[in-house]
Amino acid sequence: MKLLSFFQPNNIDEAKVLLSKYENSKLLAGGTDLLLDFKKDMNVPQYLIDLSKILELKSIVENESDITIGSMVTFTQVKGNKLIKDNFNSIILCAKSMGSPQIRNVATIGGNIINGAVAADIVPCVISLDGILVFESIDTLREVRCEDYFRNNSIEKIKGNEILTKIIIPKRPWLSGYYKLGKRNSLAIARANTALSLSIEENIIKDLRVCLGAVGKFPFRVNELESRAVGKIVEWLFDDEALNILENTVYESIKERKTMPFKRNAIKGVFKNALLSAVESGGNK
Amino acid sequence: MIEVTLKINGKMYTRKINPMLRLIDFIRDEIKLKGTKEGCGEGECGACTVIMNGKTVNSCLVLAASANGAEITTIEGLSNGDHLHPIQEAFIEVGAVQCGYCIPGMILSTKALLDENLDATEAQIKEGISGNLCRCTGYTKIVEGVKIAQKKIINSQEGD
Repeated sequence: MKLLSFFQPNNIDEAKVLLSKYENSKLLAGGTDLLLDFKKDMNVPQYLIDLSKILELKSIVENESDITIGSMVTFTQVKGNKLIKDNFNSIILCAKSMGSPQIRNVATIGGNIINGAVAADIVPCVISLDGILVFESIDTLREVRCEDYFRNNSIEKIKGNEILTKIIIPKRPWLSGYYKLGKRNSLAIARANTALSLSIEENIIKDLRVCLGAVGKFPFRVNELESRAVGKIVEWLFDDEALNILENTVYESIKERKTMPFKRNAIKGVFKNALLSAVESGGNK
Repeated sequence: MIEVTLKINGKMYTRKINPMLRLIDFIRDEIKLKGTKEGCGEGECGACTVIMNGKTVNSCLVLAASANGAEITTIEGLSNGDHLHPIQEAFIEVGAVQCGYCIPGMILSTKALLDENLDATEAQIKEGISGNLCRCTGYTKIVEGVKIAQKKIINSQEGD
């Protein structure tokens, strides 16, 4: 297909109008994935709508009960943001380990969620923090839990006339952590990653969210581990009983894949590192 | 075709371009500034690094159309007439340049890093240039070059 027109709307409303007007259009966020496709003559739309000039999509805002991240916020912005630092340790660790400085300077949170799929860096963080994705079109507004977006992806998937405008993450006094295993330190996409958040009182686990990435079609939560952990001491999460749940989960998820024998073992170390990063962050949530 | 205007090394350039044109092609083929190199063309090697609005980007992964209105610094924008930039001087002094292909990108990553944090530690320097691959030097001399550049810049500021 050949690109006929390029648009650079100045606000969300303009972008929505363009999307509804031009059927065969595509949204351009940071472009670090899409431009690679273009180079191979893949995914070239007739109309390209570049979101990079829309300031409304580039802010991180604190509300009473949540922090809202605009979809065009870059990984560099996230990495240096005090609100994120004070509330979501896992997101900071994820942003630091994502790509190179050059990639982080343009790659966006929204683009990573919509395009990244299997190995998206930020998705396990957003899922483990109970984040909500907000999609807008010219006449609709839809909020979907990030977890549901990927679990029911065939139904919830972004529609042709929609824009992911923001990600809402509830504030709560939980600890959170993240760890990624990549092939090469700075630029690798994740071979396996884990994000988690947990609530602890006097060393007893009150609540836990664990999300694994790159070990299935989409990142997913490990419900069995989460429910079994409640009421136990934090150290239990480092025991074989807990780690075996993870190993079995990964085995079941990718048993047909060649990488399974490696990943089902690797996930235990990845999980332990993510957990350590959460516990060590202490008051840093 | 669409019309774009970019400020490159302090000079305004307006051109009518194909909207699929990448920033690196705009810089090299439209403006004829050949210092910016293309390596992998996939955002992995950093040879095409330029500074856009104060931040480094891989110019192979940015559309020139998206950069409309932006301020770009390429390697040609660093020297002042015949006077090299302190980072360039430092790299030459320490022998941080071998084949030289990665150096424009490496120097621009260094500039962006030191503009933001002149006192960067060795770990921060390594992180700052982690998006730039060099297949000749083994990086040791490059990191030394950055440290010398830090001293040169600090000294010149104290001399002001």
